[in-house]
Amino acid sequence: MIVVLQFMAFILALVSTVFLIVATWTDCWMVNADDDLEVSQKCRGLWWECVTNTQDGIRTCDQYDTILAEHPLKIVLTRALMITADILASFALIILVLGLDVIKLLREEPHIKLRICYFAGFIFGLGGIPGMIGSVWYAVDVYVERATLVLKNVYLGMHYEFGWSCWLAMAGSTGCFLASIVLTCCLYIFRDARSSQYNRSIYKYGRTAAGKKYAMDSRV
Amino acid sequence: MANSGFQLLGYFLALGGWIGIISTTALPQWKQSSYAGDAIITAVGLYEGLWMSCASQSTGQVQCKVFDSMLSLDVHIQTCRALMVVSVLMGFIAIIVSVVGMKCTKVGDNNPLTKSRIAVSGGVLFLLAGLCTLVSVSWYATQVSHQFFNPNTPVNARYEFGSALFVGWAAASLTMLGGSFLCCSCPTEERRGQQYYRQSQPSTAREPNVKSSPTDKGEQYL
Repeated sequence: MIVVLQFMAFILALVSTVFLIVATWTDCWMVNADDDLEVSQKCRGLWWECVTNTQDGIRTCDQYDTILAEHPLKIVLTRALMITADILASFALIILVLGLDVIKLLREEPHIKLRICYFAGFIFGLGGIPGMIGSVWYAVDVYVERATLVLKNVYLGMHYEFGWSCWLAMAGSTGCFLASIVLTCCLYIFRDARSSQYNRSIYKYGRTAAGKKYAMDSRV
Repeated sequence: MANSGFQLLGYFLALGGWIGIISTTALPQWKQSSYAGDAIITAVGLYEGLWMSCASQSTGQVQCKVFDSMLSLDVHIQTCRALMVVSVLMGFIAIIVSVVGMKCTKVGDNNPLTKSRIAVSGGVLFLLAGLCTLVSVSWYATQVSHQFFNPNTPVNARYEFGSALFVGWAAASLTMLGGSFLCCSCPTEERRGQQYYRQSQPSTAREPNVKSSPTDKGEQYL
C-alpha cells in the first residue's frame, strides 16, 4: 500500500514539476479574445509576446525590451514566484527520489526514509504556494483588466483572456499540493502497515545474519 | 565489475544526455546564416531547424515559420527528424528499463544476474539512442558544410553550424558515455551465480550440513 502511495505521489510530483517548468518558459499566459476577424493569435508570456498569423503560420515574437515599460510589478513578481516554485519543486523531487521505498538507500532505517518523504512533501507544499500565488494573481489581473475594459464600454483594442501556460501553472501548483498531501497525510495514516513490515524485515535480517555467521564458521 | 555508484553515475550522465537530445530536437538553430565574406546585411540573422525557420531582427523581434509541407522537404531533414524522434523514444525506454535493472533499486527480480542483464540492456538502448543522435547531427553538419563550400551557393545565402548541432554532439556523447558505464555492469556468470546461491540459501537448510561436514562446505565457499 505504502509503495503504491509513494509511487503515485512520485508520478504526480514529476508531472507537476514538468508542468511548472514548462509554464514558466512558454509564452502563452494570456491570449487575445473577442477577435472576430480571426486573423491572428496574440500570446503574451512572462518573457515574450508572440503573434501568430493564422493564414501563413508566421510567428513573430518580441522580447520585452524593458520590463519597466508595462505591467512592471506583475510580470517581474510572477517571474520571481514561478522560478522559486520551479526550484523548490525540483529540489523536492530529488529528495523524494532518495526517500522512495524502492531505492536501496538507508535500508535498515525505514523511519528515516519515511521522514525524508515527509520532508519532500513539506517542500512540495512550500513550492506549490508561490506557483499558486503567481498563476492565480496573473489570472486575476488579466480578468480585472478585461472586466474594466468591458465596464468602460471599450471594445476597441485588445481584450485578453487566460492562455494555456497560465492553466498549466495552476495545474502544476495544484499537483504539487496534492503530492504534498499524499506524502505527508496519507503516508502518516498508513505508516502502521509499514512498521509491521519493518519488524518482519528485522526478523529476516536476523536470520540471514545467523546464516552468515554459520557460513563464516564453516569457512574456518 | 561495476559497483552501484558507477551504475548510478552512468545513469545520471545518460539522463542529462537525454534531456540534451530533447532540446536539440526542439531547437531551431541547426544552421544559421554566416557572415563570412562580404555579407553586409547584419540586421537580420536567419536560422533554421528541423521544424521551422526563423529570422531574428536586430530590434529583438524573432519571426518563425513552421515548414509548410512535410513531404516536399529535403530528404536529409526528414531523416534527421525521424532519427531524433527515434532516439528520444529509445532514451525514454532506456530510462525506465535501467531503473528496473540498477542495483540501487528494489524493483523487479531479486536475482542479481537478471537485474544486471536488464541494466545492460538499458545501457545498450542508451548507446543506440546516442548513436542515432550522433548520426543525425553529423549528417546534417555534413550537408551544411557541403552547401557552404559549394561554389554555386551565393555568398550571402550561406549557412554555418548552429548551436543546436553542438548541443546535439554533446548530448550524444553524454548518452553514449552513460550507456557504456551501464554496460560495464555486465555480469561474469560464475561469480554472480555463486553469490546468488549464497544469499538465497536459507540458513536452516544449511545447518545440518555445516555440522556434519564443515570442510566440504568451507571448500565450496572458498
